[in-house]
Amino acid sequence: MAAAVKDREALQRLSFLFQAAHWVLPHSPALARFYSFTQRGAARRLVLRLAPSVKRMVCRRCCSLLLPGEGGGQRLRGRGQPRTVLRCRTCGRCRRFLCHGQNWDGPVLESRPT
Amino acid sequence: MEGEELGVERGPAPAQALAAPLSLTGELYRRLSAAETGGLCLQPQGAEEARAFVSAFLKRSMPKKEDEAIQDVLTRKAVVLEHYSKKKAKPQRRKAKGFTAKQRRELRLFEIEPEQRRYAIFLPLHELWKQYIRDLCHGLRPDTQPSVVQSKLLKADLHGAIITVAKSKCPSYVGITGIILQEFKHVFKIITKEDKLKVVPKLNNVFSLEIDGFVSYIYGSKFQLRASERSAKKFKLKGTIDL
Repeated sequence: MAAAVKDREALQRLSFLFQAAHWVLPHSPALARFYSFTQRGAARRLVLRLAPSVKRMVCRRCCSLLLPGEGGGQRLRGRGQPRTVLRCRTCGRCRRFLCHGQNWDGPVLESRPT
Repeated sequence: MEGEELGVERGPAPAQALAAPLSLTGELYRRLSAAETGGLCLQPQGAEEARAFVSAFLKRSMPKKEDEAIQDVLTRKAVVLEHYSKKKAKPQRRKAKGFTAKQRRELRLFEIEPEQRRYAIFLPLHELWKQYIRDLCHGLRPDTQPSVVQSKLLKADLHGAIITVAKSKCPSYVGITGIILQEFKHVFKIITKEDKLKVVPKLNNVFSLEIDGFVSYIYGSKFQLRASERSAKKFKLKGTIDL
């Protein structure tokens, strides 16, 4: 029970950072990047799992928020096995996923392994 | 047989080789005759002139040392005339995933955006922060003990909080108020009401943080951690807390 409480506080902090980053994004993408970087650092320190949908919204290399139109474009490529390609516009890093039943939920942080 | 002959032949040769440099040095350092100097347009110097030249040259090349020091250096140490510095080219293997700190520096941090540096813009961020803190402490304001609130604040995130410098070793920092935009290892970046971005160090500063009537004091000297690492750190009571 104690572990769950600590997790919850930490998770709230991560969630707050994520929301703050999204909120600041139109004003300053640099600041949004800073908040995402802090969030990732905190999650790494506390060894917490982030939901994959959340992880995919943040570029792994430069930590900028990838929103369609702002940070990262999403494309479908490939003929044999169609893939979704996410490209970060700031650092140019690509992430590829095979298309099979993906759920693009809103920012939700879950503590149990997905 | 042949070897012996060769050995015999070689016997005196090394001795001669040893003897040769000695005579050669005699050859090297002896005074040049008039015929040679005349051809080369050199002025042969007398002994005193030579000495004066050498000491003047040394003084010029080592201007900060006195004569005795120069002599001392020359007698004790070997002066290296030519200095080769070996520069090893380290093969740099950079991961494709990460960024070097230099690259990060030019990209990430709050680059100067004069249009965005307005206090009014960040007030809603402060509202978001207040909601987050209320949610964290379950909102029981007059009932909760301050210690509980404090312990939660230690782990909480401070981005978006309105903070005031209460006490400081440096008097010019006292009284700065603003919203925390970024928290680094040793500093806070704060935006004041006059739309100024202030960088306030954590060391030797006491900050006061107010939320819903609760005022808590943060001793910045104990808080010198990166924001992400603070949530993982356990704080122990150690030593006196005073600036």
